[in-house]
Amino acid sequence: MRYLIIGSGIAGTTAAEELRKLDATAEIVLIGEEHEPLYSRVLLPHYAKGIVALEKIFLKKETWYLDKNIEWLRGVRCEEIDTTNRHVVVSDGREIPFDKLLITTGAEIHTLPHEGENVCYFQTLGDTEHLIAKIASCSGRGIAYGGSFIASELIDLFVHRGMRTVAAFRGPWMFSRILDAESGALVTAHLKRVGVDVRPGSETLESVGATAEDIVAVGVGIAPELGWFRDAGIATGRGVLANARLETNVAGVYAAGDIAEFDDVVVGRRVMAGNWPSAQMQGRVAARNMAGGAEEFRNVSAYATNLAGLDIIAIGDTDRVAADSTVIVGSVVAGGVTQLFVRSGKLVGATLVGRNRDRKAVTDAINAGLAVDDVKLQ
Amino acid sequence: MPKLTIKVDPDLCIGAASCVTIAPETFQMNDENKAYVLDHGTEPGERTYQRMIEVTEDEKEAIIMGAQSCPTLAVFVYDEEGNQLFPDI
Repeated sequence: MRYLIIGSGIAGTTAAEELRKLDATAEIVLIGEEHEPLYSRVLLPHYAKGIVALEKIFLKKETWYLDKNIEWLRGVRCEEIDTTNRHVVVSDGREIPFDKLLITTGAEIHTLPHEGENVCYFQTLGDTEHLIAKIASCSGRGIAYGGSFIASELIDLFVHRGMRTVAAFRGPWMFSRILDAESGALVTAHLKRVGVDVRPGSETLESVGATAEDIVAVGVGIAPELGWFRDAGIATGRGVLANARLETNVAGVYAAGDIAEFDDVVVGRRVMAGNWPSAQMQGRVAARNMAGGAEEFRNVSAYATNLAGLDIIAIGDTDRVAADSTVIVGSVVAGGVTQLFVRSGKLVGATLVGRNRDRKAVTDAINAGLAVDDVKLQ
Repeated sequence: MPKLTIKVDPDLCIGAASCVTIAPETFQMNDENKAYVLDHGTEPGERTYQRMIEVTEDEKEAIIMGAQSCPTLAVFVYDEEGNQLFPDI
């Protein structure tokens, strides 16, 4: 059996590791665009803050791939998938054959037309090195542009570094896609309290008025490249479509991690998870199924961040559009707001701002499919 | 049965809670959104980031897998002699 995995991040590498555990003799090929062994992107903010050293962010040694007999093609980009003849074409023109294929290509970050030496992004180790160098030489402000989790990490980083910090975003408050007005007001009040210049309604980066002395760090979401999957006959929506066993519409082709838009059996809807623990667990489940299993991926997804001292946690399905209704518990005055997302009477998701204490009850209730009326929060 | 010492570094923990998902008998989240360490689902003594517990081989495997799942490598596992079992690099 010859397994091919496109994408050497946490989903792909975990899948390779699991496949090797399940099959000592299979050929396993792992293709990735980055040159470094697996590192934790979740540790990049810690690294940028100087909390951990560079060598501490790596999760695998250089020698690990050889030790596990995993053929690791690094610095290589896949350009075409041929699902009929069962091979992929990579950037140096080679055709790499497969019996079973796993897609874990993640997503590209949205970039803005605004260019310049002082513009930074925050996805890869290379981005982070650039950001660290810019912070070291910066005499101006740290401007974070964007309203979601990556922008939040950037704000947190600038505040941690003692920089004059601007939080500029399009919406009326940070995280406006998932947070209600009360939760959003709590985030805004907190940012102002720690001295951040908050600029809601910043439709364009230009409107923020950055100067050459400022760092402009952009976190405006991600967008997977999907055209080449469609060309291969692999069904796509917002990501690569997969069932609960992480199989695509093409036999023997699977998807996991940020690229996968999968049937989430917990919340009863097709979603994209987009976080590290889900990617890792999906890599493991996909591998087991590639090796002959029939396991459904089941996890209550969660994403947590600490924004300059304020904890913000998103659990389960927090798409405001997909919810029938929401229930708000707490208030700005009380210092904490939890928003419950309800569909067909059941709790399917929650956002917790300054209310970490709700986490276990909410997670357990979503996992058990409880009616929202049965969820008692203090 | 082997004894393990399990330690969470709260300065590294970001509250991803993957350890809780994988080994809920050993890890839970506190009100600071940090993982702390349980002894088979219980909290003898005070709530703590570090404990020595006696485990079966299966439990040991689950705990190490929980530690491996941490995206910030905030969970440390040691054997009875104090050898660090994880992180192993």
